[in-house]
Amino acid sequence: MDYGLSPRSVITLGLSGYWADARTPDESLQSYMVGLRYFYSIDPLFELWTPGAWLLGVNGSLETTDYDGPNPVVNPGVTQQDVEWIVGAQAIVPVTDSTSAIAILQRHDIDSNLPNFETSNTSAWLGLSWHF
Amino acid sequence: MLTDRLLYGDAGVPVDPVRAREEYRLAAERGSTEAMYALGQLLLAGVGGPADPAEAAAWFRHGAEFNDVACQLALADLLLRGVGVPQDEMAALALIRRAVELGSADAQLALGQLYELGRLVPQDSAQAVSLYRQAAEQGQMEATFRLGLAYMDGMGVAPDTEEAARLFLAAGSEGHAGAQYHLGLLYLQGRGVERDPEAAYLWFRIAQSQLPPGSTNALEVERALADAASTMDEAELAAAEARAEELLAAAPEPGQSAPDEFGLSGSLFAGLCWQSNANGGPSASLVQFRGNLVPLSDSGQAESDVNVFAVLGLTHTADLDGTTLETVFSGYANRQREATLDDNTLLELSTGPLIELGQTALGDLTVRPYAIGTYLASEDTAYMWAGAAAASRRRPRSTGGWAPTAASNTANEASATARPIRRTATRTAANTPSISAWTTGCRPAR
Repeated sequence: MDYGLSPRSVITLGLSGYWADARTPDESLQSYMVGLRYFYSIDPLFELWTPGAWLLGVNGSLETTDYDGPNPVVNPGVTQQDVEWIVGAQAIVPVTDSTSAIAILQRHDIDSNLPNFETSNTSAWLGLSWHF
Repeated sequence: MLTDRLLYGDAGVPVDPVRAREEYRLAAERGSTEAMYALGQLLLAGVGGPADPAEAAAWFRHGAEFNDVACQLALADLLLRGVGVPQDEMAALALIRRAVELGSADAQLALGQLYELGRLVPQDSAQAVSLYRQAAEQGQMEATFRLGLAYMDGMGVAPDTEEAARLFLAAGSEGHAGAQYHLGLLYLQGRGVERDPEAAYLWFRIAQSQLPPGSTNALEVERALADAASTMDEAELAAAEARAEELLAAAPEPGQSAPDEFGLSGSLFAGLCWQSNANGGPSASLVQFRGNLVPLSDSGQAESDVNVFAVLGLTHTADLDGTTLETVFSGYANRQREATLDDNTLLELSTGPLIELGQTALGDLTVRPYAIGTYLASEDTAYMWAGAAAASRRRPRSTGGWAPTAASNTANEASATARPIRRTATRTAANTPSISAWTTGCRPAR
């Protein structure tokens, strides 16, 4: 859901629920996510082939996941529960009428009650986006 | 929406513009920019109560502050004309420019016209053509027509009657009478297309059917029709007239969409990605295997790597007897430089109807229940099918919303899709066979 906060800024709220019913309890899960994304447009620092505001954004999300039963190979006595965090920043620069350069920096952490699933990752993305 | 039914009527609901105005006012006071725009239009036209241009301008201004391009353009129009507000052409120009920045095709057309005329800005045909082109690429019919005129006349661009004919055909097929008339002229004169008086006659007849009888434009089309008819013999003319009648009888009523309307849009995002933990390795040095803590094997340690990736998104909408069916395809693939076991390909296809709930406490909501199919390929392969539903706030009127929405959505989709796919560390901990390595921790990206 997008909400314009001002002519230059917009905030997006995302909510989702996910349920999977698999053949085994350790693969069945319920997951809930809340996410926020905020974009602010700035005047172009320089113009490429097309005029257009540059977008700077930050985003974050929190997701909890509960499985239905323990995975006997990992730990038959513990049912996995995860909490996922994602925070990131994005910059979008229009290049032509239909293409944009996009840079993303993101941090992703998973806290789990099983050490096997605790993980963290930092990623940096650079690419071109074409809309048609 | 109830307010639309109150205004325009519907089975069992009387037309009640007074109540419609009040409904719009309530919705506007709750923050709906669509309602602000609609209420402003009612106040301007004096529908459902006395006309009040000053209050209309106030609502447009409120909507404009909330990024609604329709409100921005409506307020710009009042400022240009000095209706309901003191005339302020530069403020109007600033609003139009702001709406252009937000990607509004209507604003691109408006600013293009100002550049073409040299009003409020220095006359600049090339800039006008550039803006018309941007708007035309978003399907703005008038801009497509004006771009066609530019190509026909060589205004701000090298003359190219073939391109002009293509653009007139695009706008004319969508019902633009001016484009239909000019396409007829090109057929009659054999410019940009092979000379074809019958085709010219047909386009003139279609244009004529849309113009108010007796209007200047209608009289001009009548003269062109006579010119086309004078080049045909009686049999050819009779055949052309019969064909025109057939085409006009089959044309959809105003407000109806053409039956073969086909909407496909999409985006492709590709590039390079560096990850500190490309293989999704656990942070801990000890992991569990059958409840016992064991050291994480070397191969299970987190590894950084660089990959090339591509994300493709395609959306198709179809009108099925008044219900919009939206089908979305998403594809993600990456190829790691070293951690090739973590190369993966994810394909998703979902389809479902868009159901408008109308005004709610959260705004104008649309719900999309959908069925989804997911295919994931990596060192192991999993298939997953599920049903799901998503709700979204309806986009603002016009082309509104946020300028590079497609770009930001693509970026968001990419980062969501490409989360490191979790793998159980059991395999790496104890060299046991893979236990649904992907399906355990992997879910389709949302």
